[in-house]
Amino acid sequence: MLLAMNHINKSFSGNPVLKNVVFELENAEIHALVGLNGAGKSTLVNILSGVFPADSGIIILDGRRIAFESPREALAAGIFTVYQATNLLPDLTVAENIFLNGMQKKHGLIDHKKMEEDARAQFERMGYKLEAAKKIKELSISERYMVSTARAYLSNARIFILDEPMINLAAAEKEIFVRFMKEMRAQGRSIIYITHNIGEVLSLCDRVTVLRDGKNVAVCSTESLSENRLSYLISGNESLRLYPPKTAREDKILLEISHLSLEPVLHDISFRLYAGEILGITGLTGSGRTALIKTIFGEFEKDSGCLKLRGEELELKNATDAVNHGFGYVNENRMDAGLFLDMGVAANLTISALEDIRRGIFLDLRQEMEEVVDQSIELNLKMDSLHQEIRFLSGGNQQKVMVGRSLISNASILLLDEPTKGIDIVSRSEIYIVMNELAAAGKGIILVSADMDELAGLCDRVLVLKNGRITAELQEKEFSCLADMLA
Amino acid sequence: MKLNAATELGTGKIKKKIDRQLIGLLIFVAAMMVVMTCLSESFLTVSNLTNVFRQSVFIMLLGFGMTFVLTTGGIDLSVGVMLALSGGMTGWLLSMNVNIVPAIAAGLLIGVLVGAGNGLMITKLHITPFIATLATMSIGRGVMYVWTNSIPFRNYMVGGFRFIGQGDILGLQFPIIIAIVAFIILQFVYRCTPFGRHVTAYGSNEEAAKVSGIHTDKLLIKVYALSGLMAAIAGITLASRLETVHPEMGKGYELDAIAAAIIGGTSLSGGKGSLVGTVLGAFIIYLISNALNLLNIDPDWETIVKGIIILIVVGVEFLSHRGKKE
Repeated sequence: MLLAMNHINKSFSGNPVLKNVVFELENAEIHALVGLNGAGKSTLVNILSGVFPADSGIIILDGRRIAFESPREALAAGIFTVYQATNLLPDLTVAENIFLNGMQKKHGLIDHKKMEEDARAQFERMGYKLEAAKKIKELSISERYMVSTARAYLSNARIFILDEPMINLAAAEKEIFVRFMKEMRAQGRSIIYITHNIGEVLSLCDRVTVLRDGKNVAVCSTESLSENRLSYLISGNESLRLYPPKTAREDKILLEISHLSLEPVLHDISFRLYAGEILGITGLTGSGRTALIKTIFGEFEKDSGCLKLRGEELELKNATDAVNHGFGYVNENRMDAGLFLDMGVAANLTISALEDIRRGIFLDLRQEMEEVVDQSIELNLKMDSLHQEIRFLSGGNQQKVMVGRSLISNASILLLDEPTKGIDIVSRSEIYIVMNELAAAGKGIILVSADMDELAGLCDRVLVLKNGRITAELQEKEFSCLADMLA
Repeated sequence: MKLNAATELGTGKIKKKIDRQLIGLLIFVAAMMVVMTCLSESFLTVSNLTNVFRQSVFIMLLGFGMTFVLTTGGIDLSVGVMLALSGGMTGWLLSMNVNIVPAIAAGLLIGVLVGAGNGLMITKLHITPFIATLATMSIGRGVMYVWTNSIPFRNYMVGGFRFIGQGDILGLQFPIIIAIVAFIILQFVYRCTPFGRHVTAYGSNEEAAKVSGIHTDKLLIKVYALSGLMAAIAGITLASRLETVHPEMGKGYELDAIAAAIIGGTSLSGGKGSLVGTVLGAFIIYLISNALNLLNIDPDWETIVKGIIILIVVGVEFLSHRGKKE
């Protein structure tokens, strides 16, 4: 056995997060670590990688007892954490970031030429195209992740810790990443793979450890493990139903977009959104799906085309305009462009509706609290208090707050861009229920997603976007060919 | 049932973090009082403490505006200069026999305009707040020298104007009343208006603020104009108090105002601020200099002690944060 973590306990300010947790890793194994948000997965790997120590418990690596005091020590012992693209230095080049811990030198000075050549060679081996002299801050999130991957390739680590690695990757990049994992396994190295994606667990991983509420629930091989069985193990809920039954749309056009163009990303886009409808939009990265949403929301200025809300033509100059006209936007990137991490749950919920909950120039704090209480019950938010800083909520609850914000501001059209990315199945099902109730109440929802199951589970109609054009509109019975339409 | 849930969830951990720092500051002030009372008889007297408070009023007023600015994640280095320009404008107009009301209005207007100018540079020209206000500070100070020919404005003290800086109501000095009124109004603005909430939101996450429908450009212009207004109020009051406007009036006040806000728990990186803290911060700065003064310690030590206090306060804040990191 390569690694054994035994009877690990850890509490944060009195709350036990891990209770006698056991985790074992064999040589040449891809081992999934799954559980709902807050189950203790991140805490466990943080202990292993030296971010903070365990309160008690024994960690044995290669037959020797270890306790890392810092991530640096863990790295030196061969434990490599691939972060979600956050630990790169934005002002340095791709090559410099890859070789950060061992820069090539010539006469005591950094040999940039050699370093860039080596970086280029590495990307070539991976089958990926990326300019090695570019600065990290010029890269997209997925490109940054590929830089982290290149760095992982060149490390001689024995254990890789991957936390939701595929979440920001496009199909081609996913392929490269899967190849990375398989190559590492073939070389006898091991991978700890944290994910909410049950499909990935079953198709990529050898074994799975399931945590629930800080305790071990199961350790088993993924062979002969069914999807239903695994979601039961994770949620502890036998009858968890991910998608609520669909509701029928009304025969009333809420939003009509005609001949919308934004050169060079969007060309001649036309579609209608009906009241009570959840309209799906899908496409590969770069297909213009996010640009489309941002253009509708007024964040990008369109070149031509027109937008009609309930039959009336509308010119949205900026996001403020859009919010005032009843649009709500839930971003795919809630940390960077969604949440106010320093602020409480209540303030995060009401930020778009402050103009409506005033008495004179002052806020009506009582009315605000009532709205917030209603909403948090509706959304089934899990928190210590309404004023708890939102950074301490789990990802699923944070995302529910994002949806709730649009509800409080009485949005009639919701633009949801990958609303369930990186969220556990229970929170997902709760968000789906809220979406469904909104649709049933006559609101219109545009759901942008790359998750085919999600689209099929929620939508009656899905538009396929390709190179900035709508190439197909699929009805429910045609959803089986969704994947083919994308390629 | 619903309201029960509200009170249950609503109480408890509200604002706990900032409150803890405030309690720390109060303990610090109390400890200082105890020690100083033992060392000097004239420290713990009403007249001495009101005196300290009155001295701190000007930094406090600047600090209020600064608290808003810092909460957006910006900084305003030009408050000392806006103070001088406003005080100068009012004094100059009075010396030209302009009526007191338009003279004061013009002084306030100068502050608001220069502040709004800062806001415009930051939003429309995308100059960072540090650089924009640094430029304003330099230009404004130059204007003061050119305008006054390096000779202070004097001879503007008409009867009514004296009252602003030197009068009192029911034994309470008027500058103190100005600070109290400004505090009450701004505390409400900060905590209970959409504007105040937007300021915090912007400082917490600029991108998210835009997506939430906040007019971020307008917001910033208002915030810097507010800072200018507070500087103008301080400047006019100071002009009345000193009976002379020196071209170097208010030099270095910007750093004291920033120090007051930071000691009070306002974060330089934005998203968090406390006006109550700023009051205490400004008071503590002057309390220390008063204490050193009473103990006959060389005034040169003052800035050293001030620096150490800032380090202690910010250091303790950092350590208490790290303790409960998750």
